[in-house]
Amino acid sequence: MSSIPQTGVDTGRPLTRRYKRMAPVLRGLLWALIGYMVVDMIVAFLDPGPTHSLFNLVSLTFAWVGGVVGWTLGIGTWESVVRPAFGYPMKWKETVGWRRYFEYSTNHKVIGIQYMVSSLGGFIIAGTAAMLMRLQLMDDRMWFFPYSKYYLVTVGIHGTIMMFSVATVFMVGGLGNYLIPMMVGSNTSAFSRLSGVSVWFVPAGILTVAFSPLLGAWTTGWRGYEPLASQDGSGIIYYYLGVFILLMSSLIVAANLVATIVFRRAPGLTWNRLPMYAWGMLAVSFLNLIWIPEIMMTFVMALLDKIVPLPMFQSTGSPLVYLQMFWLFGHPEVYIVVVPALALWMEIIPVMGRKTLFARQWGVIGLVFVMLLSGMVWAHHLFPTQQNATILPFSFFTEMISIPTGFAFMVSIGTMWKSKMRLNTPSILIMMSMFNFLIGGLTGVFLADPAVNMQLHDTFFVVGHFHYTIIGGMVFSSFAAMYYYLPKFSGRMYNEKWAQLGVYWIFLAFNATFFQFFILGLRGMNRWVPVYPAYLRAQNFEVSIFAFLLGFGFLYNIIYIIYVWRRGEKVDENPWQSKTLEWTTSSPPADISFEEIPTVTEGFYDYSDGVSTES
Amino acid sequence: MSTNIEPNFENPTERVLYPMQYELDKEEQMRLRGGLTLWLISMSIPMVLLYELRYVISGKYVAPNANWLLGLLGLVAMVIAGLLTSAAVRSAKRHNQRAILIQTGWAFWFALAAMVLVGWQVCDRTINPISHFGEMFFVCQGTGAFYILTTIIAVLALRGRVKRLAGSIKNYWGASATNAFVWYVCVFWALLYLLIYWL
Amino acid sequence: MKDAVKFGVIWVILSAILEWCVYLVRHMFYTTATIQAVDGQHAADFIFYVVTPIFAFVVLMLIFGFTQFRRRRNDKGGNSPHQFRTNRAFVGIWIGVSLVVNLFLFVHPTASAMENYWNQSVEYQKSPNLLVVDVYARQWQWMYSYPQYGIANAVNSAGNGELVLPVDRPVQFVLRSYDFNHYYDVEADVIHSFWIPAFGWKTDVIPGETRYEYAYPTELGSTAENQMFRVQCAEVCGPGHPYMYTGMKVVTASQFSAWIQKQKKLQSSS
Repeated sequence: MSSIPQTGVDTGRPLTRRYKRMAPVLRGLLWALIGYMVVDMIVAFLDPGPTHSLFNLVSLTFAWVGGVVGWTLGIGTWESVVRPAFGYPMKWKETVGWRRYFEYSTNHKVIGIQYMVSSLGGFIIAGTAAMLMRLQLMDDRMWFFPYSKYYLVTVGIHGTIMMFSVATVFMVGGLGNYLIPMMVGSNTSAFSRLSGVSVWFVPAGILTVAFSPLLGAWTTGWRGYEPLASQDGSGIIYYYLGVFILLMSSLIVAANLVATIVFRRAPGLTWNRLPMYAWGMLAVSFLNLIWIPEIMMTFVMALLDKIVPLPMFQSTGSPLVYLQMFWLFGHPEVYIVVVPALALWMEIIPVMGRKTLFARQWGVIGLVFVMLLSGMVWAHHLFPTQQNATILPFSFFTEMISIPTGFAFMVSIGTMWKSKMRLNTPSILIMMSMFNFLIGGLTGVFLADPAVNMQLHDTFFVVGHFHYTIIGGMVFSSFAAMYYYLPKFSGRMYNEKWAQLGVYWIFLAFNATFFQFFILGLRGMNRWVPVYPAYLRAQNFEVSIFAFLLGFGFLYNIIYIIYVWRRGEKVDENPWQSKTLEWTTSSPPADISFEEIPTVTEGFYDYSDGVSTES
Repeated sequence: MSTNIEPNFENPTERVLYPMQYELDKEEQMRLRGGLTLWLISMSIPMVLLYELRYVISGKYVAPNANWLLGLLGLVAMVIAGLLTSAAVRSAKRHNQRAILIQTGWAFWFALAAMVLVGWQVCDRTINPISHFGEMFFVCQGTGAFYILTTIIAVLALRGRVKRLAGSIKNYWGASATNAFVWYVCVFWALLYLLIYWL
Repeated sequence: MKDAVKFGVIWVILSAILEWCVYLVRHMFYTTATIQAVDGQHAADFIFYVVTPIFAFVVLMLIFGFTQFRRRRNDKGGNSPHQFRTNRAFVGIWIGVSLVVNLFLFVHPTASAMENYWNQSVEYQKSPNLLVVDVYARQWQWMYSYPQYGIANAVNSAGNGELVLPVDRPVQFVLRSYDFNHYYDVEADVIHSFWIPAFGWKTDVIPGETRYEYAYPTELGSTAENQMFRVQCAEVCGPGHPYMYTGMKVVTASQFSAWIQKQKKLQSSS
């Protein structure tokens, strides 16, 4: 194996010497503030704006760069990455104890937890935004928000933070960083320093987006459609920049995960034996590597369009080009969100059913083909926007992509058949996730049909559809992963009764809320409206009640998971008798997961031992 | 000043991970090369986008009207910087650190010149941004300048490490990676140059 | 084998019950006031019928996972006695069926409905009876003019824009984002979407482009009676987006000509 010393320190050993400095998070905030102000002053002096002597769009853009650089350096990368990169001596050591979660670290498990917690913060902020939206929608006139633009900016913040800091991040940056090196039998990820930097972009990005309305409410929703964006409230520039840095983080995660899976596999871990979750991460990371730079460049263009300003996406240029470029990323993004969930089904079901994974190769083929096809379907987001004559090819590929997606169902169902399913919280959540995603997928068939789409587009039917795929697919699977890996992360086990209470709660509340979205949409409720015709009021009121129940249900599960993490009952190292490599380590894993790098001799999903095999 | 210049393999708490301060085995080299390749492929996707940009947006031919000489000088400066970093890689093979310092020093100045030449026309306000050529010119030129800026940082970092770590350097992956990146940006900028000034 | 037979029987019964439910609730679009809306409704119904057995299949599998294949209370562990890596017949049928169903759905209703719509629009364009309505969308209002009748800006008695269409007559909507009342303003045009819920379609209005859309109203109705008859902007277009709607009516031919006369009088008096 490699001659590099493995990352991390022995937790049992107290640190002999600490370099004295401020608490990293505080220092990060301070440096961010200084960077922000200083750069803003300089740019505002060099390029004075017409209306204000201290702030203008250009200076605020550069100031943000200064702020993010200050934050990233302050959190610990100054000593640990930047100075050593220039050859200065490194005055930094990996901290031990709880402090390590609040500063730069190179340990993939610490980074994974940092990602998960940041992502959770995003989930709570964006979830609160959703609750505020539902509050406003309880009545058909403006009552909660003073002006419709505040409702619309809340929609934008909800969508943006949910997509770019939760949906794209939790299962890839969080679970991926934590689990993938262990799954492939390595003690480090491939680029651990880079990964230690990237995780701190997530809080920066979330805060940038969350505070963007201070500059002026933007009303475009999470897609930033042009030409509206270029004349919208100035807060839109912090939407671009916040998303930019969140995507930067995901891009680094992607490069790191691909390199880890390709170059850091333990001896004997051939492609045929690679765990399904690792396959999922590989597919997702390739999607990220291809499409994230595309959307980052698009956002840079849109930002320039706003601050220079350029006429690119106005009627003299082409507004449709932005839309096409956005969805060119936007649809692969959907699969970036869902593929980890599909992979997780195939990971957990054989373990819980004590049965060999069914048709493994087709599961892998499904993940890979979803990845390849996802770049060919983007324009189905634009059926009413593009000319009618150009619709059909996209409709074709949209319908075709359901085939590889269906393979995940085939593999899961085939594994479940004649298994001995342990009906515990993770497996119930996985089945709920399959049920929800099934509804999300089948309603997608309606939307893929142009004649139907022309009616349903931009209505609550679409909102229901993508919440079924994303919450139903990704969020439910994430909770499944959290319950499944809780013993791994913490060495503690949840109580089946309390956990199942939370799980059935969110399942019922979720379906009661979002199934009615389909009906609302069919009845003529369109998107992005705080004010709507009176005949829809009763149903909206009742949907809001269920939505609040759902919000509290998520909160219940989150609090319960955190409680178990700290105080739960201690449990064996491998309570599920799983065969994948991450379970061969101690629970919770030591800093160096594998004292000795394991050698893999067979696949992880074969449960035919002690059983006569039938064909 | 810290005493932790030599990595201590026995005691992980004393371990420090300096770039270039440990021997690279074959597997490590593969990982680094593979990661860099992935990254560069990923980073060339904006290029594809920029190449389409001009005609996709305007829908017709747009005649370039920027000063091709300044752009060409920028390109030449960038290529010279690339030649110099290549020379630095050759010096690294001979463990000639003095030569590396001199070559990367000059590479820095040439890359800086390239960035200034590329960035100049963005700032001198000769091209109207409210035009089909101008809108694309600013985006492309700005992206080019930004990519060159990253090479400058990379060259400076390499130079800093060679200067300060001197005797304790065990591998020169930093030099070859920087060189690969500089040439990558050369190609990137050459393609952009063609697009902006001639196509 | 026993499980498979049991599954098959229950699946058939469950599918039949669900198909019957679909038959009961199939009028998904609530109000279908044009030929186009009826076509869309038919397409949606057809898809609904096709996907229902698939839904039943997967859900029944999940239910089986919950009931038939769950670990019994007294079962103390061990692997499932049934172990198989794959099943060629099952995989083959799965892939075959999903390919066939998707290709089939693409041919009908996807492509066939589009072809139908295309043919209708060609036919309407040739029709001497075609009513042309110019629709202008700007932040945040809709304006309608009837060039064939010399009506520049149709309004109701309160002075708000109002769309009035005769029943049983093809209509061509010409959708633009600039109008005759204002100077052309680059800053004021964004993407809007022209949506009449009862008509079963919507089309975006793109700055700098002209779009055409066709409808053949078959039912009388008005916003006052049924809110599905309303013109609503469906694409977010700024703070005024929720307020960007107007009333509309589908009236008989004689009512329509009376309305035209009234509008003409209004125009000449102003």
